[in-house]
Amino acid sequence: MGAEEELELRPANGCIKNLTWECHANLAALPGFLVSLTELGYVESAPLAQLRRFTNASGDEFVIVLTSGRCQVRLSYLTPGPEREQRARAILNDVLTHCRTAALVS
Amino acid sequence: MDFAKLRHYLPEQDLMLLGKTPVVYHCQHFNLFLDQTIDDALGPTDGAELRLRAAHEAAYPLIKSVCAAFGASTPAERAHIAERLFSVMGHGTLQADATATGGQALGHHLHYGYAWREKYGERVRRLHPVDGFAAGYAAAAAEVSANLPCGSLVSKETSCIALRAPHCEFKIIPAATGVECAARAPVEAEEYLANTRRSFGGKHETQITEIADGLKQFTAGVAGDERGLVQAFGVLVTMHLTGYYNRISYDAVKEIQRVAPQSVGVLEDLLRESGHVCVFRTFGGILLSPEWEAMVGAPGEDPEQVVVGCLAIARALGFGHWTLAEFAPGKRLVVRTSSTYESADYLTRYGTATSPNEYFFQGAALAIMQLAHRVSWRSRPELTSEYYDELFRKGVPWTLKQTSCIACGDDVSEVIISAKD
Repeated sequence: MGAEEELELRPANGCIKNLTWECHANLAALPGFLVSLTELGYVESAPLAQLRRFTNASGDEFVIVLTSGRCQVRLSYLTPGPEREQRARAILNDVLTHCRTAALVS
Repeated sequence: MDFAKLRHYLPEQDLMLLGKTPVVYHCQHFNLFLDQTIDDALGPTDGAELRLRAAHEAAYPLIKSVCAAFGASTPAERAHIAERLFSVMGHGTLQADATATGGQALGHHLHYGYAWREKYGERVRRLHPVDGFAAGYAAAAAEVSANLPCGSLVSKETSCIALRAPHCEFKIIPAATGVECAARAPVEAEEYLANTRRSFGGKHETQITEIADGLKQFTAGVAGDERGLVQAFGVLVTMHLTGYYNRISYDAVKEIQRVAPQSVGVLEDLLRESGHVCVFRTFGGILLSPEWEAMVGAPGEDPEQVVVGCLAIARALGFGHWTLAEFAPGKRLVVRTSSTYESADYLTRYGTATSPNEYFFQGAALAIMQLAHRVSWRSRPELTSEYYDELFRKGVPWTLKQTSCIACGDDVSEVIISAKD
């Protein structure tokens, strides 16, 4: 089952149309979730209380609130308008699939 | 250059400074709304002229003091610091190439132009350039670089992305008469402090202080990205000069009092509305953010906790030591403060006011009451223009009264929001 079938990804409050998307996914409960994101090429920014932020090489951010499982995909401003939703879904799908696979393996 | 080290707050007053210069955080919605209010009041020519002069006057002492703080000794070093400072504050990228005889500046992703195009570009055809702040800043930067007094140069935006140009351009030339800025000494830390009152606490003081401190810590690291823009909390944030906001607001009121006194009330209402715009967009954006959820907890349906959060946000943004004096859900909110960024500037520039005139403080307090009672935070609404209209343009169920005002010489500023009968 793909992430987009399972999770309701919706536009979050944002200044530029469709750059920020969010959903709930309890990734933090999966073993090795931090390692998984690193393997996908994400670099972690300084954590803030219960918030973890990761940035990929394209400048997209993946943000998760550990206590609630609230996730945000913040796309790079360079992402063309018509591609934004699809790109957000692809990022979420990648992250979720990779984290779940890593959890199964461990 | 670590600009973040220059940012600090007046102890117990929650007024923010960059070096010696008073600053606050405001978003693009507030910035565009306030500039448009000034142009609507004075007309596009006089409005733009006032905005340009205000920006020039406010930016000059900031750039000069920051250059001094970093020990910049050559024109090239000063020009570089002025460029970096502009971007760090979230205003975009502005490269000036000018000497004492003039020159030009080139702007990319300028906060006002970029935001105007994003917000209105598809629906509105604009006839006048929008980047008055960048124009004034460019002149000030060129003056500081060339070691000239304020008012030696003037700048004009000749090309603007809000008018569908590919980028923004400014022409800088020697001023015909000059010295306009030099006549007014800057309002800096000392004047700011002198115009605050003895600090005090209110209800939930410990909680408000803790949240505000956490937010201050978080925003300390916020700076412009490679575009020179700060995209955070669902808005484009700027660190901006209170001298700019206050001059355009109060000079416009004075001018309308002189030429069209019957219209002063309309202008005052619009200045209050700027407070609604700020609270709805920026405070709302912060409350809805994952960062807020992680630091404080997601906002629930308890209106008092929303008010508490909003007062903490106001302090962290540098608006002053706003405290909760009274709160009765659905009925009454009393916000009291020993400092606002409006009164500190007004008393220095204009003397004692004859009637309460902290318009932003007034409008913000009313908007806090509205956000506390009329927004379903659990549903995480998008803070769109349509939602703003629904909440604020169809009439609000509250009345507003400012009962005391530091700018009038009172010991506190106090706004009371009450349910309409």
